[in-house]
Amino acid sequence: MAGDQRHKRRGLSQSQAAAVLLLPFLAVYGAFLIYPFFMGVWISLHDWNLLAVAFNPGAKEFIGAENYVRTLWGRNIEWGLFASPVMQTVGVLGIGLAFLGYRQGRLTRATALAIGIAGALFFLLPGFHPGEDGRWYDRRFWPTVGNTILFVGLAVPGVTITALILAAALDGETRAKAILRTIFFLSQVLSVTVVTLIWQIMFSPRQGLIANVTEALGGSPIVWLTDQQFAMAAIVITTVWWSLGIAMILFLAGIQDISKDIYEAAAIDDARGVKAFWYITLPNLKRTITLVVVLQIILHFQVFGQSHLMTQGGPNDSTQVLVRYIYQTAFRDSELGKASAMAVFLFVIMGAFSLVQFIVGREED
Amino acid sequence: MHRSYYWLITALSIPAFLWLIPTIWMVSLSFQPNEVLARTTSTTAFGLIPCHSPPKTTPRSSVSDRRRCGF
Repeated sequence: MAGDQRHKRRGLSQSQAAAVLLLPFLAVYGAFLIYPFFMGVWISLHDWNLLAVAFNPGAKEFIGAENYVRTLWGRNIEWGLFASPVMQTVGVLGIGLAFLGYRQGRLTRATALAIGIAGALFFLLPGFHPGEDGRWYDRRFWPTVGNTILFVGLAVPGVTITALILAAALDGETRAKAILRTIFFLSQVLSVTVVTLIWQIMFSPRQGLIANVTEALGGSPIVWLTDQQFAMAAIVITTVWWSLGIAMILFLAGIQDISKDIYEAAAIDDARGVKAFWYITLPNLKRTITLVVVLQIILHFQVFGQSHLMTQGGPNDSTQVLVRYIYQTAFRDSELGKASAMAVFLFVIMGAFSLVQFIVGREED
Repeated sequence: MHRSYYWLITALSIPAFLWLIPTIWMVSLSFQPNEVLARTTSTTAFGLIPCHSPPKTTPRSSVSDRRRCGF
């Protein structure tokens, strides 16, 4: 009793102790994440030239949302139903899929809502286009967003499907499978500089291994990195090769979480191999698949190194991606305000996907 | 072990080898002198196995370089 009182007198309460332990983290988090974020938003509301402000801190002007207008909007912008038929059709299909999936009970409410909102955005946003005598204030921004979406649209399914198949095939305790798992994971440990160096030489039409093999087979080498048709494909191939490992490991963890009893019960009903994968592994991996897809989307929206080091955004801006454009606007053109507005736009996209993952995860709980 | 297991491992070994090729090839190139790599990588069979010692003299056409390993 006396000991307890002494302890109460000298020690901290549980909440106080928690606050003290959290303080260092909160301080670092606030200084290096929260403050820079709000500073970025603040800068995006100014006409802020990097060099001018560096020499004269007063050389910035508050312009409100003008940077956002200069980036996202244009003169005489109209909305049309068939302005971008492919994207808008994808949007309509998304809305339909969400509606039918929810009605038939195949999709949860949150998943259907997420797909529906994505479909609505795909339908609405590409419909905006410059009308007669109109033009975007920044002609490069939306094509750059389009390139980034194309990259994400190719890389995410590429990584997810390949990783899922490999994880299902390589699940097991044998030495051969362990060696194969290591081989497929190996490329993940390399840095972006090394990976792009390897693939730049691989894709080289004069020296590259692919060109060597193509020529040996009697074909003419493809100019991967300087041909507008192939440049994005080259970057996607490099990215899939590089970032498959983590996705595979996440899927392996998910597969190992599935009870072996279910497989044994299914085997009695003759559900083995592909059947077991389709009817047992896939449904039980739903949460892991959602996690991997959302993580990959967030990760690949921030692609920079591959585009910057392999193609420098070319040829003809066909591999120019959003983060590289932000980097160029800020540090080459010194337009820090406009670059910050683009960064906030990117943050909104990331935030939306994080929210989807949070909602879907909570609903499945 | 089940026979299907060996088939699976054999089938997976092919993509695994293909997966490794870029790394192996890069490592094999790192053994070549820079001045040779500046002109060609064909002093290795498909760039993988060194099959000739790099020449000391410089003037060569790229076509003869490509055929150096007989491919």
